[in-house]
Amino acid sequence: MSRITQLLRFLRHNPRITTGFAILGCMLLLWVVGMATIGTSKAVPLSGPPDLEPSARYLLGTDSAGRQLLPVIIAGMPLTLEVGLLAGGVGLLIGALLGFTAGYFGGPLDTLIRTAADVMLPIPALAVLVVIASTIHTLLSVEVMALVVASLAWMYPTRTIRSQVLSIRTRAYVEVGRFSGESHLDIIFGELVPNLLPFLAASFVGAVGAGILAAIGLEALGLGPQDKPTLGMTIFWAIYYGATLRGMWWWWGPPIVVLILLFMALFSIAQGLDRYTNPRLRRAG
Amino acid sequence: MAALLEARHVTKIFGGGLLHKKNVTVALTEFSLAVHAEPPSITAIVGESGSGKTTLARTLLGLATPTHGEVRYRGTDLRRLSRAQRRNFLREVQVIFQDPFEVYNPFYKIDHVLETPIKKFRLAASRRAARELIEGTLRGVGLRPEETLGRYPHQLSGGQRQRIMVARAVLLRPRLIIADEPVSMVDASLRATILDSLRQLNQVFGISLIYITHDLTTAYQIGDNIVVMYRGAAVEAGDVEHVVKDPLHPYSQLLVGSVPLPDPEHTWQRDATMVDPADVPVVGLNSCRFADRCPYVMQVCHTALPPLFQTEPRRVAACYRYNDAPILKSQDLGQVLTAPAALPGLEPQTTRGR
Repeated sequence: MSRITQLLRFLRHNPRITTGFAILGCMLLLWVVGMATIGTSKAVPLSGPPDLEPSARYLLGTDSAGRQLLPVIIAGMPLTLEVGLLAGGVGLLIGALLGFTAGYFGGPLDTLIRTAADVMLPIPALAVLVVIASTIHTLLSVEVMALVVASLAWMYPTRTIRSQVLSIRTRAYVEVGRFSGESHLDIIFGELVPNLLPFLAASFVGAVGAGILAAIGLEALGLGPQDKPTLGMTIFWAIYYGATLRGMWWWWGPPIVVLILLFMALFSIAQGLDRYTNPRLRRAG
Repeated sequence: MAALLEARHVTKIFGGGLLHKKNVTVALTEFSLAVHAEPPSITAIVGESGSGKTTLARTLLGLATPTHGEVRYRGTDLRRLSRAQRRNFLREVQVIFQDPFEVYNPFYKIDHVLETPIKKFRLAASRRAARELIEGTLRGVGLRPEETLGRYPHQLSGGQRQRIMVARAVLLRPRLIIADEPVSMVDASLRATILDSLRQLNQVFGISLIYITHDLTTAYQIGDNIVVMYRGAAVEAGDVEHVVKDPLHPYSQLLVGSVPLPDPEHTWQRDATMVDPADVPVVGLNSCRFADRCPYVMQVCHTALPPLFQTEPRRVAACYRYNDAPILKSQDLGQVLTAPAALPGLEPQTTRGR
């Protein structure tokens, strides 16, 4: 069986993952077509008359600063996804490192890591992020913002991964691995990580979603990169200029629709991954 | 020469701690046992559930640390093995676990458990040599490589899975395999074949075996020596033929009497001595553990812990009924078990029906 038919078969058996990737694919297609035909050069202020309704010339209208909103969406989508991937990836990486260390080795190190995560967990992240972001406001690029978000996104992965590791590290196959001469690192990467892959993948997708959400929260408060037309900043400007009161639905509507689709896609993939690669569900032969 | 593996006065206590001082389980009490590499022997360790058999296995393997006492590999405490010594330990002492499913990582095909030791201990020079080694070993335990390799563990039967675990242990050509109830979770019809494989390992490759079981009949089938455990201590030890045919300790007698016979006229011995172990009060170190269940209980049994009385060169029993025999120090238990040549004419294999 070729790789492609195998992939098709896999997608047919995992409708959730298929749905999620289909939504992401549509968004990617929209972005590629948009980049090719419209580009992002009109996403800056004064590239059109202000406050225009959608029309044949300005497909999604313009905002009060004269930005054309379709180019803004096209430019904002990858920026938002970038923040999410970076924040989610870094957060999960730190969480996985700490979670595996704490769960596998245990002892005082475990107590230290667990306590640190427990202490940090109930602190409202957004409040801390607002403080950090407003302090380094002028330096805030998309990447720095992603790291700021990641700095408070590692506790939950640490906790969940630690508990997963705790539950599987006492399995007999870990002991068999030790007696087959595997080192601790061999055990972690060869025996534990593969079994947690679906979990880690689902955590990653979840972390990306959480990262996007945190970044959008900061941006909607005006604490994002001022010069970049991210989706969150667009929402901020729409609030700032009273777009809701002035009935300018074309300003705040599209970024929200894009975000909803993005979250639906991520959620659907995370759900599908939970069910994926459970070998007991694999068919014989 | 130091013994290959030796437990010295091992006590293992679970629970306890600051808040649960009363909630303590003593799994092993002052247990000593020694296994020598030569001559290769099969020692069966028999006891009811809760007698400390599995704790003993895990302690001998270094998977559990004794609360008191130590386990020595060629004279060195398991906790103080250097990296190289630990490697040697793994090469010489291997394990077969009870549950033939839990021991497989569900992520991998079963090839993984056989390839890992080859890779880690560089047992084969090439991929092809490794493959041949695996196939040869599988055939050695009665499996067809083409029917087992390349499959996931859940696609194989419990018996096949357990035999692959036997093959994994054998790959390293260890001196000693510790098997913790290797057949208790396998269909009765497959038990005999697995026991045969184990017996063959002993005879063909000279691998010693510690066979831990609750089942006296399989212990009798496979063992050269037997240690009967009761509540964390050895109550009787010796040649399996003698212990099973003529048990000395009242608990061994009870065990032997509990084996059901395929004879409808024979009523199952079930007298007042059969008490649910859970009902028996916790005993200290100052009385015989079996005193509450023992039909021959004497005054002394309640006041002192019986030592091992050596009634014959290859026979000990921890019971005051034999107190005219010399006392054996518990750390010398290994000597009693490893002297098959000392008694010519009593070689058990020849007389045993299997």
